[in-house]
Amino acid sequence: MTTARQRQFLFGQIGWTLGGVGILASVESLTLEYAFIVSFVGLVVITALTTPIHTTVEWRTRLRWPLLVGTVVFVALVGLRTFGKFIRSL
Amino acid sequence: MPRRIVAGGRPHDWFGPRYPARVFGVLGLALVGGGLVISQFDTLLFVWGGTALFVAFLLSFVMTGTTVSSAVATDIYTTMARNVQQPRPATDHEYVPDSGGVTLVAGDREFDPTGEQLLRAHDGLTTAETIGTQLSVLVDVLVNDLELAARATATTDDESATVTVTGSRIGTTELFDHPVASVIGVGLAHGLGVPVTVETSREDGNLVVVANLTTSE
Repeated sequence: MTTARQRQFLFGQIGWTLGGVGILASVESLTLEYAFIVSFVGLVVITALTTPIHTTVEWRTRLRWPLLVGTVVFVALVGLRTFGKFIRSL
Repeated sequence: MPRRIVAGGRPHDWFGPRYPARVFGVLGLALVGGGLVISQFDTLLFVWGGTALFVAFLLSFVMTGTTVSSAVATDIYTTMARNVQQPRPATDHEYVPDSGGVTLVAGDREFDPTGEQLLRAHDGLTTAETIGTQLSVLVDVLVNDLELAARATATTDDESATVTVTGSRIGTTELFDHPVASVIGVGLAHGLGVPVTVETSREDGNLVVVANLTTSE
């Protein structure tokens, strides 16, 4: 059971992800990597835009774990890509 | 003859709107499984399945807790408020800070205010500099954390504050220690350390809470 604010967050996240995947698929560049990056950016943007200014909401503090894991994976992907380009350029 | 009567807990209750995480979890597993079988659309099915599994994760580990419908909460509150006012109805409310809490003085009796419980998780409310900073926190808490109102606006000067609440989730037929007014009264009394008198009224379907600081002269 979710509250109105939680539903708002979920609809935002699902809508962003599915919309992004639709756009990626329509330009024929849907890969798991791009899909992850699109949904991770969506999670960060929606979290940043919907966090209240003056108060800390208890359930939002738990969003730090998916954000942390997402950041680690994101940094790993960027690192792998950079490393790959670097090796090829040698 | 003894009878055993049970509602809920049956297999079909295990899924459904009360447990959306399970629905999304099963959907996600089915889509990922489909991706393993149908290699033609595997990327798309993995992405959809992953999204559904992520939603299931959010629902079960981030957005935990159960909710009660606003109509039920209204009925509980209204009945309690009527019961409390049974012998002598009181319309004047004063939230008085004392050591370790806030007491509601209504008429000639003292009560524990609802706002005390609602704000117990907010430690930052004990030290406020001005009524304006405290009120901006309280309005944010009402709308975004407690979700007691769809929208709240406040105007304030040095010694009083007027908060207009649109779409109160708790009905406003009874106004004794109404949760919205109680949060504002307790929050202001707590933060500013002075007794706060609160008057609550209904105007055009909105709830109007007027709080006045009782400054000792």
